Amino acid sequence: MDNKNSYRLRVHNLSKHFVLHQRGGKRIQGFTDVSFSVRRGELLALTGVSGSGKSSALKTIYRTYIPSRGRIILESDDDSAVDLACCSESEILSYRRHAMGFVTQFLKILPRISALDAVAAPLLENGVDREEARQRAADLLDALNIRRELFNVSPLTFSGGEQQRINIARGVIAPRKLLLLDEPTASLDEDSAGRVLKLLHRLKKQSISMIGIFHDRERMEQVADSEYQMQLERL
Amino acid sequence: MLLDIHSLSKIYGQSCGHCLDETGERQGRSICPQCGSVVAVNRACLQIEGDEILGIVGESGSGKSTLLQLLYRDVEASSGEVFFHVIKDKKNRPVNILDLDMLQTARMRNEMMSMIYQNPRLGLNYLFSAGGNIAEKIIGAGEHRFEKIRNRVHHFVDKIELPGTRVDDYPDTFSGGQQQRIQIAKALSSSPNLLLLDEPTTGLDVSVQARILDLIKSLQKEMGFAMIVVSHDLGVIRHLTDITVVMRHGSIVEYGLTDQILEDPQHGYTQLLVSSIL
Repeated sequence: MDNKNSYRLRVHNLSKHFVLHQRGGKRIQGFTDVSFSVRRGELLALTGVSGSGKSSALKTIYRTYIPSRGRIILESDDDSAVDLACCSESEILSYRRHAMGFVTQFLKILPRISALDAVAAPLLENGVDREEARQRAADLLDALNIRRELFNVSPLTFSGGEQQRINIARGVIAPRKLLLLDEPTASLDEDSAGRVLKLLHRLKKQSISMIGIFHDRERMEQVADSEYQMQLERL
Repeated sequence: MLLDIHSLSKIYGQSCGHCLDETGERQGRSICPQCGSVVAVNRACLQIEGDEILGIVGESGSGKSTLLQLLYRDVEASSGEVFFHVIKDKKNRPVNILDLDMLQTARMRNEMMSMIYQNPRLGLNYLFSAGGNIAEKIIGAGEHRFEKIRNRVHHFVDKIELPGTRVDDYPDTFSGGQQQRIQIAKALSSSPNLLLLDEPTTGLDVSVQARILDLIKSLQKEMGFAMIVVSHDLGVIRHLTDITVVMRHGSIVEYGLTDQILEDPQHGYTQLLVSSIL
């Protein structure tokens, strides 16, 4: 059984800089020496002014960005730990399939796939049968207040707020133990944002750990257990 | 591990012995200045796991299609080794597929590895019907019972959403997108371990493109084979692949997770390529 007090993720002195070869090797600092840890079932909010590297930090943990320095220790339920900073690409793919998920602000899916199928897809990948997957997807879309008449339409035709809820649904329908949330409530109205926050509370009870970026301080305080303030890099 | 490629090279022309050192990314050319030979692939090293989808990108002439043709043995390699871990010798050790004879190569293509060409004329036999093309592959993979063959043909025709009534029509009576789908059905009907795709959607209109990509992706999830996709279209690479390899002047210049290659490219050439996306 899960030990509630043990860590899910520990980040030590994580730094990221970019080298632009097209600009004669110009170096741009993303963030420096970021250290924090997240326990199981806990939500940590990353805060800081625009440009302080919040999204970059999430992308570096997910390994969309290659870390320049530091360690990213991910712990499994059996207390085994790996350093994501030095895992091979194949290992990262396997962790992405089973251990960590990323929810962005932007919906990236193939055109012409219905909302229901897009949301059910992660379940199908986990081997859930098609009927059950679609049923669970429908329940989740109901909980997020997506109108039923939209279920069989491609989400690429939806409004910004609807797209974002589809994206969240895709990220949480088969939740990984660690979820990285980049502005999950950014373009949502009060009612929808409230529903998303309720969903996040439910995930915490399932001992899912999350790191989130919220632009709205009030919403952040409703779900976050702790906060890490990113510092703006000065060159 | 499914596929293990060691120092694979292809030189067109009379090699002088210095060709590989005189060409490649660092030299900035693929023509040997000493003898004029063209080095299409220069000491490529690559590993692929059993269910991975690998993309190869690069400008035309960078050697990406040649690399696929070397693996499928459409083109004879100049040097190197390729271990395809489903083909083993009597002592259960993986065999270098570059050493296979014609018969063994035919068996590999029939049962374990399939290729989808940009031009369906290369992948389909236009003297056979659509169903006949698919059946040919199934028979090649060792099925001889008529009933089973017929059922499997219909299963795949159904999968590619072709009307069952058109199974006996000839390929040139179908549209370009439909011919490409017949090629996909043919390639997958033998349940291969590895599928090679050379610009699978180039030249198709965008509505057909999305459908073909969706079809390939869902069949891959269902059947669980590994894929190598060559494309110059980074949109195709983003939607389809997990890992991307960037080639230039015959050399592999960068290898990484697809989202990393697109969002945090390390090599100067990859940065140029990614920053050129419209």
